[in-house]
Amino acid sequence: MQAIQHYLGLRLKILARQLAELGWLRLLLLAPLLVAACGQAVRLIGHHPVGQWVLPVMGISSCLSMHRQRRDLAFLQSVAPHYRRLLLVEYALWQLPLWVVLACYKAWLPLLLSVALLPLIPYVAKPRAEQGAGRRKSLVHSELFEWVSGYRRTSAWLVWGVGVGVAIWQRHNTVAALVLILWALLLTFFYKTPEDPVMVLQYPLKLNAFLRRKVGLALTAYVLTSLPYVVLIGTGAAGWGGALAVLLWGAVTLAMVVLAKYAFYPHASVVQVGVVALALLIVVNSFYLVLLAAAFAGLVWKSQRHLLQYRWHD
Amino acid sequence: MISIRELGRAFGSQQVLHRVSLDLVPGTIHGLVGANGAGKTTLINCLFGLDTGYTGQVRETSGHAIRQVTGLLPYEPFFYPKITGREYLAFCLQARQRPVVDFSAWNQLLELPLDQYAEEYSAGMKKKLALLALLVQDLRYLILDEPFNGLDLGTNLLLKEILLRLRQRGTGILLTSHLLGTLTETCDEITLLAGGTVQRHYLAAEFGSLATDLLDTLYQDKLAQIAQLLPRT
Repeated sequence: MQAIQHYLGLRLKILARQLAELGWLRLLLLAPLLVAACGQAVRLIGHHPVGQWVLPVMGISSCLSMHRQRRDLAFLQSVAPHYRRLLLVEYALWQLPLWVVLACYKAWLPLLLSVALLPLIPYVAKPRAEQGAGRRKSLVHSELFEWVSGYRRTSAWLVWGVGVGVAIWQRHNTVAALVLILWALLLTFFYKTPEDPVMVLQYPLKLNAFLRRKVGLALTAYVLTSLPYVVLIGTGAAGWGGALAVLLWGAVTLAMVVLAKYAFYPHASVVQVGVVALALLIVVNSFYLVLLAAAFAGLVWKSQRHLLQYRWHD
Repeated sequence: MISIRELGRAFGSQQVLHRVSLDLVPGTIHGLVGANGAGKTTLINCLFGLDTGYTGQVRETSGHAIRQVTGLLPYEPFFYPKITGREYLAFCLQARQRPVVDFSAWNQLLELPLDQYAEEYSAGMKKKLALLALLVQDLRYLILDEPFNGLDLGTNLLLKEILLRLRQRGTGILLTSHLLGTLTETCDEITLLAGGTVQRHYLAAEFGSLATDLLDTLYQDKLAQIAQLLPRT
C-alpha cells in the first residue's frame, strides 16, 4: 500500500512540475477549456444509450494504448516487484471520472464492463520494437517518422479502412464527417512522442523552414489520407463546402498539435491535449474561434522561439 | 543460487537464445561476454522476468522470487522527467518497501549532484545514479548490463573494488562487459555467448585462453579480412 502511495506521489510531483513549467497563465487558460470540452463531450456521449457503451470502450482503449506506449514499464518492473498493482491503481484513477459519469447516468452494465476490463491492462505486454534489419528505408520513413511509428502503434491502416467502410456503408453525411473528425484526432496522437533532440538539432534546414516542412508534411499526409472521406461528404447533402470545412478543421487542429510539439518540446503532451480540447470547443460554440486563432498565432511564435534552444546555430 | 536451464527465446522465426544454461551463485561474479546481438540483454531480460516468453527454466533455488532479491542495472537506465537524483533513489527504495536511507556516505564515493534533475545528468552520471540505487539496497543478486560503460577511469576502478567487496559479502553478480580485461580481473567464471548459444564456460584458470578463443572461433574470418585490408609490409 505504501509503495502505491509513493508511486502516486511521485507521478503527482512530476505532473505538477511539468504543469509549472507550462506556466500558470497558460494553465489558467487551458484548464477550464479542457474541463469544459471534456465535460461537454462526455455529457453528449453519455446522454445516449449507445454512447454509454462508447464511454467505457473509449476509456479502456485509450488506457491500453497509453499502457503499450509507456517508456517506464521495464523500470517499474525492475524497481517494484509488485509493479502491476501500481499500474492498476494509476489506471483506475484515470478511469474514475468516466466511472462517475456512467454512475450518474445509471449505466451500470457499461460501468461494470469498464471495471472488469481494467485489471487486465497491466498484464498486456509491450510490443517489441522491430529489428532494424527488416525495416524499409525511404523518404517517408525518414521524414514522416511520426506517421510510420503512429501507424504501427495504432494500427491506423485498419482504422482508416474501417472508417472508409463505415462511411460508405452508412451513406450519411454526419457519419462521414464524424469519421473524418475522429481520423484527424487519431493523427494528433502521432505527434505525442518527441523525437530525439539530435534529430531536431541536426535537421538540415533553417528553423522556420524546419517548422514549415514539419507542418507541411503532416498536412499533406492528412489531406491525402482524408480524401475518401472528403469525397463521401462532398458528394452528399453537405456538399463540397461542408466537406472542406471539416477538412479545414482537422488541418488546423493537426497543424496546431505539430506546432505545440515543438513549442513545448520535449514535454508538450499537456498543451497538445489543450489544443485538441480548444479545437473541439469551436464545434460547440463559435466564440472559441477567436481563442483558437490567438492560440495558433501564439504557437507559431512560441515554437520558433523555443526551438532556438536546440538550434542555436540558426 | 539462480539456475538457468535450457533457456530458449525466439522472436517470430528468429531464435535469439538456444538452450542456454548457467548458474549464478551467491558470493561469485559471473561474466557474460559475446558480440553485439549475441543475446546477452535478452538473457538478462529473461532472467529478471522482464521477458516471460521464453522456454526452459529460470529459478532461484532457495525459493525466493527473483525480482524480490535481485537488482538490475540496465544498459540504458530510465529516469522520469523532472525528478531529482535524490527523489529517484528514494523511490527505488520505497517501491521495494525499504526505508529511505542516508545516501551521503555512498555519494561521497560517486559524487553526484543529487538535488539536480536526473534527466540533466551526463550518460556516466546517469549510470552512476542507477548503480547507487542498487548499492544502497542489500540485494542477494545483482545483474549489471555494461556497468563500466560511460564511467570515467576513476569510477571504473572504484566500481571494480565495490564489486569485489560485494562478492566477499556474499552477493552473486552477473556482469556483462565488452572490456575483457576488467572481466578477467573481477570474475570467477565467464560464459561466452555466441549466436544465442553458450560456446563455453571459462573458470578463472582458463581465462588466459579466452581472448585467443574469441579471436580464433568467432573472428577468424574477420582476422583474415584485416590481413587483406592491411597487408604486412
